[in-house]
Amino acid sequence: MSWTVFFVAIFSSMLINNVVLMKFLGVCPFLGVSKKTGSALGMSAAVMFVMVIAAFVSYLLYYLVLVPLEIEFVQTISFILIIASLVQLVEMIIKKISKKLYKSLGVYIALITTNCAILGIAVENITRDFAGQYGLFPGLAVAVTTAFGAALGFGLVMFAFSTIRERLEGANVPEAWKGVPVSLITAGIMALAFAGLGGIVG
Amino acid sequence: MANLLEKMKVAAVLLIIGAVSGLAIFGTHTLTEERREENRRMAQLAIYLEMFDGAVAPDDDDIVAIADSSVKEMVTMRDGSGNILGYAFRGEGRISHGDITVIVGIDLDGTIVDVKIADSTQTPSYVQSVRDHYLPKLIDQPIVAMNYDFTSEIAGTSASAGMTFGNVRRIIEDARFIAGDFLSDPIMDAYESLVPDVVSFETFVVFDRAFKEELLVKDDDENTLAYAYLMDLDIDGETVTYVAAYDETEFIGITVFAFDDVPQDAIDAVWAFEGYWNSDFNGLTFDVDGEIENTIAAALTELNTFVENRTWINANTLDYVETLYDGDTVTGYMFIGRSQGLMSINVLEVYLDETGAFQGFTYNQSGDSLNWRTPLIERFGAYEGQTEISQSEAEAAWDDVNPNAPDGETSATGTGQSVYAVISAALDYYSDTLGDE
Amino acid sequence: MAKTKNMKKEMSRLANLTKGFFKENPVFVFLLGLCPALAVTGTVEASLGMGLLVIFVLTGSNVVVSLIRKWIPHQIRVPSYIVIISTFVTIVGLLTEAYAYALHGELGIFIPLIVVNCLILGRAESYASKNKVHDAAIDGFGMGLGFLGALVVIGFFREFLSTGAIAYGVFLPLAETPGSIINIDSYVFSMDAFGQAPGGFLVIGLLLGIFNFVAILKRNKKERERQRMIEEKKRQALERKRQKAQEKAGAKA
Repeated sequence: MSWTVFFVAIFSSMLINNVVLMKFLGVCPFLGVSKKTGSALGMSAAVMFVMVIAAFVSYLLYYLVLVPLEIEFVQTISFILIIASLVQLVEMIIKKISKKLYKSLGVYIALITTNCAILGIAVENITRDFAGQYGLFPGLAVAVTTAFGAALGFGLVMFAFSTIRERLEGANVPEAWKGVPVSLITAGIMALAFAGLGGIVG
Repeated sequence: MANLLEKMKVAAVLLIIGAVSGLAIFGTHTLTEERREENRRMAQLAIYLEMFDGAVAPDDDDIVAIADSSVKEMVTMRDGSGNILGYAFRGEGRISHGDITVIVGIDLDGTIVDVKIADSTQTPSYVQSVRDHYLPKLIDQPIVAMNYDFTSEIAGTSASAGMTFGNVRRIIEDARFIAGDFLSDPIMDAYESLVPDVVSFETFVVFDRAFKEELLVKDDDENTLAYAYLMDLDIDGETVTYVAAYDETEFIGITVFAFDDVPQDAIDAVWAFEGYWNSDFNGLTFDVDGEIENTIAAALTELNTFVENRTWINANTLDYVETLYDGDTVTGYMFIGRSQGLMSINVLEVYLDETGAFQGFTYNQSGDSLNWRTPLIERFGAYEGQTEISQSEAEAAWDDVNPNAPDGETSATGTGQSVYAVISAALDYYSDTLGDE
Repeated sequence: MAKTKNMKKEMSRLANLTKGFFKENPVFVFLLGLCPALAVTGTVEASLGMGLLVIFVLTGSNVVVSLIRKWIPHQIRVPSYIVIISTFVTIVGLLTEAYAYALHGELGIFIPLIVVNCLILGRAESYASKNKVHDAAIDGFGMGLGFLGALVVIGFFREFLSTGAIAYGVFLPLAETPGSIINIDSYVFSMDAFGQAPGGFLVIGLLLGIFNFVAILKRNKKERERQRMIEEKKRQALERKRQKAQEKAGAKA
């Protein structure tokens, strides 16, 4: 395994298989929390935090607990519980460490449990069989890198989208298309642009 | 106290919910486990089952993993009552443009039933081109004697789709060697009777003489054991392929591809040559009786003359040089050399006259585009008679055949570079070695 | 008296069932569960499959949540709901893998992701935990149907635009009909992008806009009607006034 694996993992999960625009994961916060650039960035930071930790923990849980016990079929329920408790834990830790950080991130962290990007990336890391391809622990590194790239991609799209929406506020949009419809169409056009990146790396 | 009771209640509720949900999930899992396994297995095997009418899903015993080959898996396909219908091979290939998974199905006679590209990350348009234009041509061919001549007839797509097809071809050839173990395989049998340690063989040079093809016969470690020559002879209206083998010093022997439709006379005729097996090929003449035997002897004599006149170089892109005679006078030299071109390795025939002057060249084998290849032959024709072709002359030739040549700099094309590499090696070899004699 | 009360109850049950279809449609009105609505609606077939799974999970979880609503302590209700929902999702996942393998392959990762479909947790929290079992069941089924309907509508447009097929690969028989004006296979105009990621956003955005547009037209029409009524009443009042004045004048004269 060479270092390029990690570059490819970041590049492909950030841009080519962008969680929001290509995989439709985390569309709810994408539409819900993207009205202001500040909140979009806050959400992205919180997502990155939880996503990377969740990828790490869920991967280990799957291969060190579920697989030896041969109960892979409880994957969904155990992952979502892990993520829910992780969110609680992260919330508490942030609250303890920094009041300021908690003030800016706290609201978003609570929303993350129902962000399907977190569960989606955790499940996908398993279905893509990184452990089979690279071995257990190198696979863990690739899985975490993928999650990091996905979170970067989420942040990038959130930021870009929120700036577009701020501009849209002042634009003369027909009444029927104001708000969500025009945002979705904007997202569609962004997705078209991202689709052009397909095929750069395999 | 009430607080504790409350906590106990929370714990109890959580425990009960957990237990019930665990039971429900486990129950469903147990009930559906067998069916899910079956589904998953069938999904993997679907592509095999599609190829063979009436086939049933193979047992684990019928699926054999294969190591050290581009073929990864061989599956014996059976019908409902256990009769073997044929064999399927799953092979994987890789080029710089991505990976490819190919399934090759053959029936009991070794005839290709179907070739499918199951999965690919290579350039989609090339893969599609291979699917549309190449794969249909493979169906119904015998796997032990594949004919790939059609590749040069597929216009436009040949160079670019060629790399993808190269993967497919490699997988078919590897499948052929695996199938050779249990299929009746007259070709492998023939090679084994001449060179017992043979594991594989590959085309080296093609000819348009009494002998059509020169092959390298290789052992397990890819070492060349011998050189084999195929001769297609007309015996009583049938085309019969004889194969003669040589090593560096000796005529090893001659045999025949004993396909079902080959007349017994044609097969028996090779025994007339038994006395010449394993003898020094220099000055060897074949003195035999009978019509068929004489036909073979004529071709074999032509081949033997070629082998006598050929000097191995095996260095500096050149494989060997054949001295051309008219009677006893040397009239020129033909060099065989190979060099990496744009899309494939180009094998070239370079002709020099007896003074070492350049006469011209042709492509013996090439996967490069004809758009590059043909103009280069004509353009290098301008240097006929020269005993030396300089780098700048070669660059001028490349530029002339390249319509998009940038001004003022050389436009080194892969095809042009490979051509010049072989030609200059031949000219150098003459001036360094042959000219001194 | 008793009869009317019963009828009223029946009516409200029907309303409970149908509210998710249009008025409270989870996708088009509340924008819940947009991830699957975008991701698996490339074809009508997949949309239908996803919709059916969601109906099953939503009805099931609503019933169970409603059944045990009185025993669940308030502070652990969300984790309990999540466990219940993910149990149903796991069961559904196992069942589809066993009995509808092709659908399982097509929906892929979006089957486990039903867990985080806000629609389901939302109904459990806001309806099932406060209502009786049969009402919760009707609510879940109705909302699920509304979700399925929305998915199928999106899937229909996306499949038609991307492949030219109406549904299940059936093409408009335009080319084969003699004397047809268009005489061209509908797949000639297919636009791949609508079957892929960008198309999901575009189609939902366009549909939402069209629905809004219709709603605005309706509202405007109502507004105009109301305006006209007011004018009419004003006019009548004026008429009456004038009449009275005339009568007065006549009487005087």
